[in-house]
Amino acid sequence: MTDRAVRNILIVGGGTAGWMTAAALSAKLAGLPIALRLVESAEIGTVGVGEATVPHIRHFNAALGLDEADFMRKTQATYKLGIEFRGWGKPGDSYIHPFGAYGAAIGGVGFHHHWLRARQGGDPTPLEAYSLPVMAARQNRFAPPSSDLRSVASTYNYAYQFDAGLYAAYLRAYAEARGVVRTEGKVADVALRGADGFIEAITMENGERIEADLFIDCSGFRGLLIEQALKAGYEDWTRWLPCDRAAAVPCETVEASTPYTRCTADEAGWRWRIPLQHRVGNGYVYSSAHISDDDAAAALLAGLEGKAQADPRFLRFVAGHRRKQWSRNCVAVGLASGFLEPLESTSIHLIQVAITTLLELFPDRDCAQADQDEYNRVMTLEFERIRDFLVLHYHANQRVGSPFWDDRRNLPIPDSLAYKMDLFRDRGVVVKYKDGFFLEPSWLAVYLGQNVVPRMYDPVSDSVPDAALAQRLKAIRESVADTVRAMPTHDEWIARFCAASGAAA
Amino acid sequence: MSRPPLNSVAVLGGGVAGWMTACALARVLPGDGTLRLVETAASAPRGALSTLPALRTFHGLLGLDEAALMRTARGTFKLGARYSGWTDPGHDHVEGFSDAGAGFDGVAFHHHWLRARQRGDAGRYEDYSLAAVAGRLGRFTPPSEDPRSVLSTLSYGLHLNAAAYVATLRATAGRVEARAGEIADVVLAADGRIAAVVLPDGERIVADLFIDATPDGRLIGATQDAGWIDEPALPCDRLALREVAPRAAPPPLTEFEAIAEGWLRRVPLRGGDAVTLAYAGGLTSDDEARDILGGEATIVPLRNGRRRQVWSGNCVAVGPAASQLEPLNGDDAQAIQSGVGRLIALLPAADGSPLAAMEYNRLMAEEQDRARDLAVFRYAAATRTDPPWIQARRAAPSPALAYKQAQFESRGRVVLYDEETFVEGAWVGAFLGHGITPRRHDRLADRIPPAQADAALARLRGMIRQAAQAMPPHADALKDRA
Repeated sequence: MTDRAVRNILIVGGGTAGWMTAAALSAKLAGLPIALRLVESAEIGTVGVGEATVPHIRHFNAALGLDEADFMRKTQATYKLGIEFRGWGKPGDSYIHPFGAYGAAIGGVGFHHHWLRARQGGDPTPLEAYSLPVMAARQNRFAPPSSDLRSVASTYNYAYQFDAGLYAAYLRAYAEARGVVRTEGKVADVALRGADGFIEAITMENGERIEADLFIDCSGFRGLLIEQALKAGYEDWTRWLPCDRAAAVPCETVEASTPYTRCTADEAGWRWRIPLQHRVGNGYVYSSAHISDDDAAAALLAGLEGKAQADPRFLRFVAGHRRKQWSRNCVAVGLASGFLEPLESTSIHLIQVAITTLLELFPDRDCAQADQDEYNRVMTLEFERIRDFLVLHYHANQRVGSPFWDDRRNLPIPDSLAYKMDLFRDRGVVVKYKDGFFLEPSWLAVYLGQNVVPRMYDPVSDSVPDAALAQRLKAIRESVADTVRAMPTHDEWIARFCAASGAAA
Repeated sequence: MSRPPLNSVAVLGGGVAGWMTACALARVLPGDGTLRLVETAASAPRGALSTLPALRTFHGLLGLDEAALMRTARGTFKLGARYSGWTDPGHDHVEGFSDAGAGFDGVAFHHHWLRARQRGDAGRYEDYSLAAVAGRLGRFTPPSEDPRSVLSTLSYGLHLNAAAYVATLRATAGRVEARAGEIADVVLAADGRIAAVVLPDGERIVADLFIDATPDGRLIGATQDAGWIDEPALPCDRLALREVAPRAAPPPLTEFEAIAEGWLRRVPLRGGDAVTLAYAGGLTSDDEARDILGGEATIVPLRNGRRRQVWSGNCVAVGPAASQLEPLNGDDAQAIQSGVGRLIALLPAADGSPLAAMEYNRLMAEEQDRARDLAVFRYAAATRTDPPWIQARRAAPSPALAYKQAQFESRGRVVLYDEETFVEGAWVGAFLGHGITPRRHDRLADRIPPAQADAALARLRGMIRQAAQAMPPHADALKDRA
């Protein structure tokens, strides 16, 4: 069996995907006789402008053994408790999708049913009053969660907002220290093997030929290996997610940095705001069918809180994924594998899932069809489930009179999403599947945050008497409020724990 | 609340399915609601239950005292199941209720075992499962709550006499208004919902929601869109039940022995063993079945498959009315437990909830099909060449099972779908136990030097054997609970 083992791996493309892959493989394949190499060109820009993440990134960093404070200092990172969505329901609405649950089940019934019941009984308390991360975010406070599971301070998780370029550089140093060989230059040619169509080698512009048993395509949107050489095909989801461009620009920090990312609905898409220690990342994701590049850039610049630090950069993309994210001896990771707009900060998460799944299914040189099939099944599910969640944000809008938003509300949505929404509207049920990243609290945040309200709550809620329920709700509310009051501000915590030198904070 | 709350439920049938459902609903229905149960003669419980550890959670929710239950229901402990005669004659394996080994270095244990056995003797896979080892040794002790103790890897199910179990449930059901009766007529409303169930004495049972706990789906069958999907890959359509004298040292295991006619199941109870013979009526007569069991037996028909829609209109089928499966996974009552759990999570309004029904049907169908896959797999992996075995293997496995087995054969990957009752450890135990050996192990297991891995495995095996040998005999553990 040993003679069939992979002996060398070539990662094509650096950037966030390339260096995350290189770092993870260098850590996880340590002890195996496998040479790791990465080619990248300094001339080809990477996309990362500032990147918001989801809490799973902490597992990734922990698996690599990264020191959190050091990593945060070197990537100008801030903490993230969730995402604020402005104007996604009705114009002027605001809700935060937190990394944490609302309240706690009472009498075996999900908290939101009790909240719906109290609301029907005239209690005007918003759902977010029962979420510690939302209340902390609203007050710009942060502290790491408690490990005491009985404490309300254990009911949330957190992620980071960091400079993706610096993160890639940080992981590059990590990977190179563990033996990953980096080669500078552009790929000129990709040679396929006659017998089975596997990639045999790439040739660099300087003529160097690099062979490998396994290729990881981290070349970005164009998919140099997976698409241009292997014709993996693309599942196009434009009909559901029509935004196809983004303009991005960093600006100076003016206000206190917020422990959350902001996504603000706009005329033909939405704008992001990601506060880092040394600047604020901003962008406008839009549909080119609904707004011109110039108008989008103008809207983006007009919305900046501080002075722009550069001219807007433009990106183009198509929502969807490669039909085969693993084809023959090539696995696509990052934008080469597909694109879902960063509305829920899933870009880095998808890179992480790709790496984890590749390691779970780590092949021999022949890249068994079974490994490819299983990888593609898992990744397609991951993409589809995130897609539904993103489409929900667009579909459940009440921005009547805007052509872009009217279309989102009125045009068909995926059947799988329609089913989920029907169940929620009917009786507050959040449909659960084994796979898929977003769990019940996330769906609740968006449904209720965008005014999708069930026609009935779970009738078993009624087995808790009115007075007992009111008392319990009050206790949760107060415990959340008390805990938040005792937390330091986000900037205080960063200054104490992980301030980058020269950061505004 | 904008919709009328569910106020009355009628359970028709009884038995394990009817009483488990009634007891669970009794806890959640509004205090002024009515909960009736009509026990039909045909639904009377028979034989024994061999259950998964999960049933104990259900008992916890009902506030059922386990020690008392075991006394009244002649209960014994179950650490897993032993399968013999399924592949090579004389071969057997135990699937225990504790995951084998411990994943180390981030790689699932079975890959380390697969790798080690290429080099030499790594023992059986089950030798790394404390429940399996203790089960074979006939020993039992309750799990430890100390996560550092190897005893914390144990979990256990129960062996129960079904009739006595139902009697216990009945005694704790509280508000359930029960009566004996037969179903004379099921009256449908114009919209296909059940308007009433009429009993022979003329009493009309009217309810917002009807639970069909009859053995033959008398109610659900009367509603529309409730066809039955037969499962062709399971050959046995008859069960013969009898009880035999107890053994001096009953193992804490359910035993499944493959024989020419089908298979025999032996469930140890206090005071006797409940034996079940599953056979194909077209190949083996009832008399022949009785002969195999020594002359006496109760014959129960079985129709492998499930209802296309187990919730239709205002009728929800539970137990055999919803789905039937040769009981060779040792998961008796599991479908009932999850059915009532899901029903409570999707409790409808009085005027019905078509969407809740749709979701319920999706979940129950997924769950049932995955459990069926495990039963079908046991036949598919068998090497017997007697007629029912040949017949079983002629049917194609579901695409889900075919893919799952192919993934395991290729690289020991366990694919889990939605609503799986049996998760990774259980599938690995079944695959390896029934003789499916992956062509490759996870390459990442190779990060550990061979000598170091061998030493770790030997240490683990020794520790488990020692812990099992230190436990009291199962029979003694039962006395402690008496």
